[in-house]
Amino acid sequence: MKNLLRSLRDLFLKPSVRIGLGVLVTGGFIAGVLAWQGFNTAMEATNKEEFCLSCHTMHDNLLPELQKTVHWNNRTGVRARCPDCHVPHDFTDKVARKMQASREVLGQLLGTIDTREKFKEHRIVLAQREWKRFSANGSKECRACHDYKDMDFDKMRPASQVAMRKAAERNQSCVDCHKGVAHQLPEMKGARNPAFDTLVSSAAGQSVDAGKDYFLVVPQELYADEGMTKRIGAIEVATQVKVLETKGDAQRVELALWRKNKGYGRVWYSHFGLNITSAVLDKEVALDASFVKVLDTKEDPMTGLEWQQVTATAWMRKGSVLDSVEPVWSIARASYSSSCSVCHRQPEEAHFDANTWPGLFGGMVSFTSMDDDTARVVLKYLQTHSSDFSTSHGAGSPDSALQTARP
Amino acid sequence: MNNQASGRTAPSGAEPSGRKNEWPRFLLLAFVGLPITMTLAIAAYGFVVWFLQILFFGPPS
Repeated sequence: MKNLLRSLRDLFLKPSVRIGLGVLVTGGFIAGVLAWQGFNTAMEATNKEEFCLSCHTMHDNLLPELQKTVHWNNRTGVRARCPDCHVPHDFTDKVARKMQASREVLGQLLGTIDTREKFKEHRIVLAQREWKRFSANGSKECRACHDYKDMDFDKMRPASQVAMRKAAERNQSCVDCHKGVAHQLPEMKGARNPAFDTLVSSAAGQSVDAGKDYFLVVPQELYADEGMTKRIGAIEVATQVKVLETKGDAQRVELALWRKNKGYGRVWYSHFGLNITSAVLDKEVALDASFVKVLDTKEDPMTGLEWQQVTATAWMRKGSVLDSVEPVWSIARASYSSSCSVCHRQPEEAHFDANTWPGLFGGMVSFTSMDDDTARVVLKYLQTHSSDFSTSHGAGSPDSALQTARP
Repeated sequence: MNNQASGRTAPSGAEPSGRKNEWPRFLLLAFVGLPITMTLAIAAYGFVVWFLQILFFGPPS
């Protein structure tokens, strides 16, 4: 070690005796030119499509997807190659991204996504990483080709003009709306929204006092007995219940809801006149007068239907309630704003009333990647924050909201 | 001045070998040693920037 240091010091500090200064400088100059050229060539070689596709993960999964899009093949003959979108163009960010690729090399060696199934399962992680990058730099790589300042908005279709002019005003990141333009969107149907796991774990730690009101954080089955053997129905997420007692794993809760006095009255709603589903009971139970107590009866002037205020008690599994509904709504809010803005600016919650939302939402939800649980929470969120509940949205009666909803 | 300093410390036998190996040492340094050092330095820079992005800055803006 000492010898090495000494020879290094000699190498740098001792003047040369046999080689002239000019030769040394010229030699160093040539070496420098060659080294820099070599470095750039290597950078360029690792920035080629062929290089990306040399991994079979890229070649088997992402290439066929890209080949179906306009970024591969179009009438103008201009096309995007992998690094045009996925490698930053500035030196520092580019070098950092290339070093970050060590993680991808590791993934390749470990076979993290070496089959189509594994890749599809992992896609959401990869996509979110890339979406995050694009939203941080305002989709800089997209804008190397598509920049707002070079767009002729008048040549766009009228519907696009509105959206694009507004986006340009806000200098919005392209990928905010244009997700999945070059590859398939991550498959999320049937998947679980990981945000619920936090809710469930905080519900498990919630201390519950008998006689107080709580909110469901996940849908639950309802039972007639504390042994939870006889199922009588199911209760929806975010429904308010009064906890009466806790015995072992079971909790007796009181439901105080509304239902339409028509058919079996199986579906129970949270408010008079509003179709906000809170619980669905089995037929025999819903008809059983010893189980369901009717407190009040009112006619809904909008539909002429008679609504009953009902109450019942039932058993459910404990550990799924919270004393505040706000954590549930914050998940719903996040999901609503990110999923719906993929294609359009999402309407304000209070732009429609509680009975308009289910139809609208049901028509749109299949275009999103929400899983079923999330979709239910989001719909309930929209209904309970609709114009029927909003105080800031002026006249909040269902009538006026319906009119503003249909220009 | 440097010349004088080396003149004073060198005569202990290191100089003849230095003279003999001057060309190989020069070529090795210029065409192998320094390019490798440069590449390593840039790689290290890249890693530092990446780690800073993970820890503090978030993705580049």
